[in-house]
Amino acid sequence: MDLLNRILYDAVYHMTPILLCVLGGLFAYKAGVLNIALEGMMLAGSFISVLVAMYTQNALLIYLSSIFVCVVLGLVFAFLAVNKRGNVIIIGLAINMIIPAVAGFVLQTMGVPNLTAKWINPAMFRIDIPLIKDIPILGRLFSGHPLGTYISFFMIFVAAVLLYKTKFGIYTRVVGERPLAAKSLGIRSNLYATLAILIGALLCAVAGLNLSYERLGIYTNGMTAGRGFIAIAAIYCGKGEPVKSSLYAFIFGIARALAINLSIRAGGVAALFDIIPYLLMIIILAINSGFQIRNYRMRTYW
Amino acid sequence: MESMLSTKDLTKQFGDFTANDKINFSVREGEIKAIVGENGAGKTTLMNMLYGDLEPTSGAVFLRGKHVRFNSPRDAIANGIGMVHQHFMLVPSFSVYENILLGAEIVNERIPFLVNSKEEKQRCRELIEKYGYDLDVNEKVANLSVGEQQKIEILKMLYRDVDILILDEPTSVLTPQEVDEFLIQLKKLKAKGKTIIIITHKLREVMDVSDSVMVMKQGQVIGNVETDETSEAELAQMMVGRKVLLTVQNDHKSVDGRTVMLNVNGLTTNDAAGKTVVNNVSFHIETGEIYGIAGVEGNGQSELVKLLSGMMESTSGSVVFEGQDITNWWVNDLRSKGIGIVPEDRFAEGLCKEMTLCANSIAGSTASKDFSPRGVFSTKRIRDHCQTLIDEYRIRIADFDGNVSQLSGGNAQKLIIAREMFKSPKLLIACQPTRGVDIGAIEFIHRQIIDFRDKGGAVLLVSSELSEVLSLADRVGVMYKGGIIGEVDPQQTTETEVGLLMAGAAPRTEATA
Repeated sequence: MDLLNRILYDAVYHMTPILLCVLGGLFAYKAGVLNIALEGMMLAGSFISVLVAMYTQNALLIYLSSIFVCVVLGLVFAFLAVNKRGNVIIIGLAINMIIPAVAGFVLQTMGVPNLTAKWINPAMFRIDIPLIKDIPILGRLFSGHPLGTYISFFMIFVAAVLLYKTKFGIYTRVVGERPLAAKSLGIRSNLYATLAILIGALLCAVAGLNLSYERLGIYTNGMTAGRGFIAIAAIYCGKGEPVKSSLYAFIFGIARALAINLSIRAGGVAALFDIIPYLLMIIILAINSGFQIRNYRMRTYW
Repeated sequence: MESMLSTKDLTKQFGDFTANDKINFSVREGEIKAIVGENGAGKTTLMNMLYGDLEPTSGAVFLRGKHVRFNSPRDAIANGIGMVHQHFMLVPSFSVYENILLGAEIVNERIPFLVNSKEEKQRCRELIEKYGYDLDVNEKVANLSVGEQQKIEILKMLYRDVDILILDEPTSVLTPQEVDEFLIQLKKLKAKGKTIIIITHKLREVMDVSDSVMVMKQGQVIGNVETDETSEAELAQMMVGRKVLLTVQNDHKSVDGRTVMLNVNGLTTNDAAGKTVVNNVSFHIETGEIYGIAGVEGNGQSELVKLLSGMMESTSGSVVFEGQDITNWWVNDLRSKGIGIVPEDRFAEGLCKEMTLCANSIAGSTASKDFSPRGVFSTKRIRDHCQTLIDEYRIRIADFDGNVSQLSGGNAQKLIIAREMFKSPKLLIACQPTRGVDIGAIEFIHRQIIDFRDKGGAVLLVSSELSEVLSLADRVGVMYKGGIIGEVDPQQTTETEVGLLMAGAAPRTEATA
């Protein structure tokens, strides 16, 4: 029971950054832009938040600085990919590589292996929800998480409304599904694609904040560990639908919770369990695409 | 009469290419103006400039005598100009009302960033009723027929209350009955005071519906005439620049000793979504026979051709060629058995745009010893081969060593036909052989197909141009929703009769049986 509780709590805990990335990234996906820079943007959010937290305890400043940097990265990505029609893979890869490089340089200059904001005690960010926290199982699932987790839950709802009930969402989907239709009605494709990318950048910042600042107060290079890519996998499997994609994010969260809790008990082969989320990602993607092409009769590449 | 919309020396250049050269166009208020011309004459370019989709290189546009400049379609719509494109600009996953109101959403009064879909549906229902259409606002556009989709495109513009409606090749995807209904709708819109500009290459419709006609050729205006002062023949001559035969010379010559060449039995397959797109199709083709497949586009013809040419797999049924079962064979094996393929999309499946004429001329025969006698390509042999094809089929090229992308639609098609015919196939599968091809080349291609048949070849001709199928084929199967709904003898049938089949009305013989 204790192990189950622990795994459930950890699943939500580990799902948070992935979920935030998913909810941010699905807008770009719906707008027809493959944003592989989620990973780099999240890492930037993590890095800036702890870096700023080392010098100030002003939470607002920490949040704003992280978001600012990620939105700037989003603007760079959007400008190159949307306005200049660059190759999104190359641009995304560049962002994914330059962030750890810059962070690594800063760490080296400061002469530290990682950044630590010593005043942070992760327990202080945990928010208990009065009634829910006493319910068995549910209490562990939904209570005692940092702000970012609650934001991520709320964002599922916000993303669904934004995508299906507002002009912004409708136009974003048109831009992705039928760019020419958007053009024929004078819908500004570039604007909506850019906005979609910026939402992704914004939520990646929150994901990064959650990962380093809210949880540990520590930044180490490479701490995102492919979560941005796992988010992309979740978006693809869920076809960019907010609820569906979120469910995939939760599955990946469970995988990581399992990996961590099992490896504690595994002794010598502990590191082996770390591959669970990544292995699961490959398996889910394979099953998913196998399912999608089950009726495919064309003898062409797809 | 005062002109509603006009242009003065309107010019559009794409690099060195002049698509529109000093066009002076004018349409009167409340008339139906037809613009005719061959493919590539610049009709669509002109309309895209009027609609704000393309920016003119020079010249001016006048609306009700006032100089206007549209930076985007949004400007044009705001000024009362709407356009229905040849390729529909609808979003398949959206419902009817969402598509009609796309870009003009009605928002919730209290929470202005939310879209008020209830109000939207109501307004759409009223609009549909006002113009006498029959559509369900909640239906997904992906589930609608092409004719219905076109109505949505028109409603989309009517909702925006445009005065001028531009229609680009509106009837190319409709059944004859739908065309008639559409033309009646146009006249009704005209009666409601709308000004209509219609781009088409179907001269019968021009004569039927328009008040005046502008003829374009190679980016220039060839002439402006009043419809009641001209004739189909005169317009055709203006379009092509010489006298053309509007009908095909086809004596339906019967070849002696006919045998069955191809036998298709219960062929079935489905699309990626699992929906049956070819449903239990059976027919046979004999030597010296052209078997035509007619039908509104999207009723399984493309998939049938893909099945028969080895690009798609069937789920059940069989294909027998000269007594041998060739079901689900791959393209290469089919070709080596003597099947020539003229695919539907010539630049996607027939040719490689970014490769040279020579490379394309040997596509499908690259393994042949003729072109690589010692294991490597012999440039000389390939060039000679390519030159032979170009000479024999009078393919007009600009640069022998250039890429295939230099060719016009008609000449590209000629190259494919030349390549396929060179291998002297026994069966030729030709899908949309004259789509987007100029009238001169159409005559030539039709001649090739008939000559091939007269020499004993079997032809499967799939075309959405009903007149083409009826004038060439010896027997015609009509496809509807993936199946062959009826078979007719083109010499004893009328377009109306075939049109009914195309629309899914079962033939009388079957109904009584």
